[in-house]
Amino acid sequence: MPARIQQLILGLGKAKQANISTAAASFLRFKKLDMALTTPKPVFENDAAEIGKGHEFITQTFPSYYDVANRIEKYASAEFVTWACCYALGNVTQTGSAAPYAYTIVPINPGTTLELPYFSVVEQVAEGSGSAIDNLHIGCAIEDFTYQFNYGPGRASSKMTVNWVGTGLLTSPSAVTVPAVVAENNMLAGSMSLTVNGVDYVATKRILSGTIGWKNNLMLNAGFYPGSGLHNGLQVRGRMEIGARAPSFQFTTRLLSGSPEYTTLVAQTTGTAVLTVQHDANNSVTFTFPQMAFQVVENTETDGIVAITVTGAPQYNNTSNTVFSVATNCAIGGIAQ
Amino acid sequence: MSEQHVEGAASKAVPKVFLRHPLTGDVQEVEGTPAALVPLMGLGYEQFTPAAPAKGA
Repeated sequence: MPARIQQLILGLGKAKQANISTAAASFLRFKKLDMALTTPKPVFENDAAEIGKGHEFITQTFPSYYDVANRIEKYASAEFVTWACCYALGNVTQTGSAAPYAYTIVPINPGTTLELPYFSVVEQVAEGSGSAIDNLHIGCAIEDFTYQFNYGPGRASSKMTVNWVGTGLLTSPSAVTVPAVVAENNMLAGSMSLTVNGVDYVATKRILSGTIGWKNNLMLNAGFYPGSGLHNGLQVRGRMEIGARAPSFQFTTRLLSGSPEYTTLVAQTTGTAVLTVQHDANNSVTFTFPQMAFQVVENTETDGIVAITVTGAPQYNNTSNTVFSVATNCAIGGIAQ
Repeated sequence: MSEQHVEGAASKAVPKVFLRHPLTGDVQEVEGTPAALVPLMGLGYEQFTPAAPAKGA
């Protein structure tokens, strides 16, 4: 009996792993939009290019390494955005002894560590009396996330996409009992407030769409260090360190007479950029760039209305000691703790 | 009654959070607000729970 993709049970580690090779002890079950299943890909090399065989064809293959990666595309809920930001940025403080819990999240300081907290991913698809898929991926890290908002109604106005990478460590069958689906509190763009360089883009009804992103540029090859370990004879990563990280912020807004964006660009004026989106007072997310100039301001149109797309240039701020921070409230405690 | 009310209000005060620098061991106790937490967390300070003092200590 074949299995339908809707049967997928996706569990993401709630508490951070004790170390890169020890699976998480608690999971959160989320729904998602994309249909991408995770494949633990064993990569093999061969001797086709080697001389001395008398021909150019393969005579032998050799196990090399495990390659594991996938994406998660979701409507933006307070719970999932909190989870994604905790593991993507890495330094997390949780306050509150009962729901709603408040999280303050900043990028890890490379002076203290280069490794983000690791999480586990479990995927299960029931088939017949067994499972078509039942894999536990251990030692995963987030490569990047993108929060996207758009004009228009409904949950599609506010989405979150995460790309994650695994070490290759795998337990199958997973032996994990995934809890019930998280009751998510979706945050529609209609709830948004946005102030950039002193301009309230919601009050002036100009804002149309935009993205906030964070990319860790993980040094994946460096994870295969001598002694990093083998699984089924294939090498697995023993670490995943951050590379040159890159925050991003881009937004499209209607262009009016006297719009200050081009002047801000030319003068390279810096200011804060704060975007808040919420379901209610207990389920919210605030993204803050403490210091940002504009890098590009480009004329465009949206639905026939003249607009501009602004690409921000987030800067490190010496008062906040960071380039980016996220503050969230949600009913789930213990994320990345 | 009024004392209970005052205590209730106090319990809603901003909680304090302990942060410790993983390399220097320096400990800071700050309000659990982003404004207070972010500057220290940006320097690498991490949340931690101090050990409870032994009974009789």
